[in-house]
Amino acid sequence: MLFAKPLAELIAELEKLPGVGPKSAQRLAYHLLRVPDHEASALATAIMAAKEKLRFCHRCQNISEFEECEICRDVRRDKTVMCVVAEPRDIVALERINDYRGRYHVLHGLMSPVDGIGPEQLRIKELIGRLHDEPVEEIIVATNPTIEGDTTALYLAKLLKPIGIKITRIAHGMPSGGELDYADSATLLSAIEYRREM
Amino acid sequence: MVTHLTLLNFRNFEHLDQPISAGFTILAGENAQGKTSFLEALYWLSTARLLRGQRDSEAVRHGAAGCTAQATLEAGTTVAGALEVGARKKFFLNGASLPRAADIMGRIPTVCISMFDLSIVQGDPSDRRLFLDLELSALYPAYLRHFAAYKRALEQRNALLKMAQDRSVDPYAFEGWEEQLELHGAEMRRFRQEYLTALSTLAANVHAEMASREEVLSLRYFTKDSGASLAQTRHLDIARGSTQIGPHRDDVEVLIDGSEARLFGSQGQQRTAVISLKLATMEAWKDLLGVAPLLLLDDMLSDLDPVRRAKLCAVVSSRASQAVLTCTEATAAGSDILDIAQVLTVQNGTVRRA
Ligand SMILES: Nc1ncnc2c1ncn2[C@@H]1O[C@H](COP(=O)(O)OP(=O)(O)OP(=O)(O)O)[C@@H](O)[C@H]1O
Ligand SMILES: [Mg+2]
Ligand SMILES: [Zn+2]
Repeated sequence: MLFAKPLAELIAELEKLPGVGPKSAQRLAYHLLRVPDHEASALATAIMAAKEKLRFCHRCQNISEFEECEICRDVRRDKTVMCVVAEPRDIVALERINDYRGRYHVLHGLMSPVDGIGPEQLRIKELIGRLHDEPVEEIIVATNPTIEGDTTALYLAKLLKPIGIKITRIAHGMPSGGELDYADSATLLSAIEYRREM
Repeated sequence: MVTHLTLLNFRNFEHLDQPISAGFTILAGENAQGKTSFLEALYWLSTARLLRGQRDSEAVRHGAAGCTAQATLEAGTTVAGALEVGARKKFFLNGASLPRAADIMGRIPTVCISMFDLSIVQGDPSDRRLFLDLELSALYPAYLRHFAAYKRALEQRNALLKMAQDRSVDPYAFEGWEEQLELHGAEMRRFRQEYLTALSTLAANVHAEMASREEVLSLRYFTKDSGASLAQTRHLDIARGSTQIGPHRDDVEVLIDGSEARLFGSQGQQRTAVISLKLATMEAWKDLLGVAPLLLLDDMLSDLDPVRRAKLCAVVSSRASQAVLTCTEATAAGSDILDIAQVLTVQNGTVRRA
């Protein structure tokens, strides 16, 4: 046998993590074996605590420690604007720029029939529910500019249009500071397509 | 213009460090010495694809762990590709790694004519669509974007069609994919039709110069679609489990004197038609870039009769600026080219001046 059984099990668990291949799983496993016991159990406790204490905000579906997340509870945020994103990590990215002051809604995925994901698998019902008791005037769809991101945006636009809410889609283009010559052609093209007047 | 080619463990080349002449190069040598492999390396660097075979790993010299190829262009720009067995191929522009392999396309504008191209006339509609898609993607990055989006949306709609066979599916869920297909599909057809119209004229001119008697070559875009929308064909598509209309089902008709070359052309006519068509793509590049792309001709001289061969050489020497040709005997190239070409002898994975 290549690895002692507990080690093989640890490697197998680590390998299931996204972005972790067999080699890094081994490296991580050996590293964990070397760390002091209290560090290893701190990691194990943190994982379990996060699993137990975190849930989805009942309003925006973001990951939250409470029934309602901090952003939804923040009275200074503009309740009339809602930014729809695919994943909780997209909120982190948007919050970093410290510019957007509205609320969010997390879909937890994008429509993708090849992966068995249709509208029912996304948190769209929850979104519609919010429109009844929140004074939303504009919905900004901030899904990625992939075919799945675009189609999900189209779907939402069709669904929401009868309700009479303004729906916008974020523009995509060159990352600022990107070098034109090395940018991939898709980026360049959308940069041209979504150009703005100066 | 390519000035230098360096290969490491590419096909049967363990190591090659070869200056390339600004004009014409003839690679001569016996069978199975590496002539096609040399051309293929240039083709790989310009298209991210191999000439033959499906998998890139086939280019790695037997027993080696990986291969690299690098071309130096006239301004000192380098274009390189590297492949390790079991890993993704990577391409580099001036040493900087490009995000996607497809981003290398068009850095060395190239037109390659080889036996594999006979499928354009002789093969299935899918062979002709592949020809169009590759040419257009290399010429227009916008086409590549529509093509990739269309392909993905098609996979998604087909998956949804299969889902809809067992349970009811929200029509809105279909509409999104269908809108994408119709949008990108219309753009693909617009690109294809415009390109074919231009190509048809160019190919007719080249063909007129090469054919021994008066023969008219023309190209026609062919679609079976009746003009119905995807929403209208949805129920039929659900029954079949796949999308029945769209540019992924279109074809190109190659006509000689108005009848299909695939069905009625002689071997020599078909071959001449393919060469005309490919030389026409070179002209299309020229119109777009202002300079002729690199022309690669693999083994195209050997099977032609002496008259057609001489005409082909005359056409090539008058229209190409940089070209690499392979043949078993350098003399096959004829004096039009031979007089101005650098002749290299390829032997067992090595190259020397003849
Ligand atoms: N990955 C590889 N590793 C080692 N050798 C290879 C590899 N792929 C192909 N070869 C061999 O390289 C040799 C050269 O092939 P190539 O097709 O370049 O020959 P050629 O000179 O064009 O011959 P021909 O005149 O018959 O067309 C052949 O013997 C072929 O079997
Ligand atoms: Mg060959
Ligand atoms: Zn919330």
